[in-house]
Amino acid sequence: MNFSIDFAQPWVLLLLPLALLPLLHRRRDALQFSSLNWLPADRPGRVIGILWRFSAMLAILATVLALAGPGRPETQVMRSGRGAEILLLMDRSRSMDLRMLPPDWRTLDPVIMTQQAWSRGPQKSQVARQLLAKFVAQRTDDRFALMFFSAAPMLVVPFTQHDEIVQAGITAGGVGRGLSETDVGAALLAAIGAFDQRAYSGSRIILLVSDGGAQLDAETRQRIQAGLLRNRIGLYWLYLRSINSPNLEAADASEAIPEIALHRFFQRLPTPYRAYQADEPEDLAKAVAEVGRQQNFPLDYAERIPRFDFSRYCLAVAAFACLMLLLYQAKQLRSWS
Amino acid sequence: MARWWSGGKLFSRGDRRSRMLTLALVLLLVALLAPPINLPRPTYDYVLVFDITQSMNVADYDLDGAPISRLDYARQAARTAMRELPCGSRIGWGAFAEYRTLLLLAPIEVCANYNDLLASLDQIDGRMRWGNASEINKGLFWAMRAAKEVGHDTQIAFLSDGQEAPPLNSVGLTLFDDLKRGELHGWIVGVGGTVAQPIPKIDRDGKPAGFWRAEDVVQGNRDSANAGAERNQEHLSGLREAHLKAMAEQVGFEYARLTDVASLGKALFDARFAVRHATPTDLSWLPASIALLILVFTFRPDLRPRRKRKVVTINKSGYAA
Repeated sequence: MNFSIDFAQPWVLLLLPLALLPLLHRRRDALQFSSLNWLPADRPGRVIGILWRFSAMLAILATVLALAGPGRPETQVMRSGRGAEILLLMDRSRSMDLRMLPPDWRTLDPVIMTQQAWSRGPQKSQVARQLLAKFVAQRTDDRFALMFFSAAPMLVVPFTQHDEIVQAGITAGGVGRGLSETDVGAALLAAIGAFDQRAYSGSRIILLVSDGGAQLDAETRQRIQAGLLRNRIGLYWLYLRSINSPNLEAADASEAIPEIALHRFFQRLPTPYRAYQADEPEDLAKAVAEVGRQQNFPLDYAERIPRFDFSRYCLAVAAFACLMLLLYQAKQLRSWS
Repeated sequence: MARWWSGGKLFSRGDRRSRMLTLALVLLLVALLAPPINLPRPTYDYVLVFDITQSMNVADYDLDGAPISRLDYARQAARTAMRELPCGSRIGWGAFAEYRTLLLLAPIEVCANYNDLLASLDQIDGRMRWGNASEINKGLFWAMRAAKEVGHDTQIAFLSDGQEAPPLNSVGLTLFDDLKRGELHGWIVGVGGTVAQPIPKIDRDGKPAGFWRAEDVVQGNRDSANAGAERNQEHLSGLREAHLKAMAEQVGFEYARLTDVASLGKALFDARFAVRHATPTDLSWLPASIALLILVFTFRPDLRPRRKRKVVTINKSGYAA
């Protein structure tokens, strides 16, 4: 805790000498009297006089200070909380513009369903946006970073404690059409790299929000595995399933399908991995809540304490001094007649 | 014994000084207790779209004596502009490559998020590039679409050197059907020097790989714009101001050239593009200043020096203080 003070309008302090005004001799209140020696000594009166000057100086001083806007500058305090460092890795490829698999998909004719892939139900990118926004809003203790990816990874928001900018990035993630290409491998490597040179201070998660898989080459797979291990990162895949997307858990699915291949690779990782696939937004919300429950390990973080303004206190002091002056006025003899 | 004169006529309550002090007290209490008032203040909502295509890597600016690339200089200009934006203004980022503008960050309030915005701005560079083409005209249209989708009268500042790759053969493209000229406000900011320079080639890992050569790039057809040249020089890049101005004219934007780091700010803070947001404004300084004036007036010293005389103040009970 430090006690430094700064001023919003430091130049106003130039007016501080005005507080000396009440010390200057003034004639206006003086009464004429034939001989001062005739007046009896008045100790309480002298004290009151000193108090009067003091109150007057205080009133001016406090008002000037209030106008200068004193305050304790923004500080950071280290705290220990429960939470995680979560990097949101958001797919911005064209396929994210497809619709979610409708809840009643089992009852639909497959041909009709395929036709509806672009038109019926909520867009996957919108669903992802809403879910992530809610997720970030609920997990206030976590530190988030946001990375988009298509052909190249795009780190949009480096790790931060402040949700507002993360939310702005998530909002942007739902604007406009997706890009044509996807490179999950490069994206994962960049996401892992975002944890490099960061002190390990709590559980780390990469939350991959994507609808597509990839056949990664051996070298990329090896680098991803080593990176996750090195930086001790858990991987969570929020798999947005649409019409024509395979079911990750299907036992008989072939690894020739990119999504299945990616899922199986993740499963073989020595680091924690979970996949959340859902056919409808409600299920996805459950999955997000589960990520939240599972990653509640202690996390050291710096809490920002916003600037605290003392102006109001100064105004209160000034008002009190004015009140004292008024009381004094009521007691003072102003004229002989 | 000393009370013989205390029955004198008193003006203790109604006199002028009491009235002044009462007024000062009331004003101080107003300053103390009045809540912030929502006042419409001129603010700006911008999405800054950075061209991150390879020609933006040409280092034809200099900053503090060192050569600096067009993109880095544009970001430096954005930092400078951010410092001057009035609180309540909102700013967001977009990036342009290939034929698309991708919104990276929806506009957010600039003062509360200043440090985070700077950290985010630092990340915008060529490594984000998702394609090597540079179809600026389409990119501008996409930027307009994004701003429209964001809403709130969001305006655009599109920072580019104007180098289309592959080059456009016709004068320009027709505006997308869902956009209308003048529907959005904004700026096209021309970045780069006028002398055409070779374009550094950067590989996928962000490492320099020499320069683009004439045979590496699509040179396009000879058209009127290049009529004077022996052959097209699309592997060299200079600021294509004519093209940028024509695009600005087409969509109803203004054009400005980035000549120094302050020029972006100057363009953005155009009163015509200000949005008046109701911003909670603390006006307590106003009654407090008046109270100070009154206090200073009340305790002003005598202007004319008088004969020296011993002065005492006397309270009601008749004692000298």
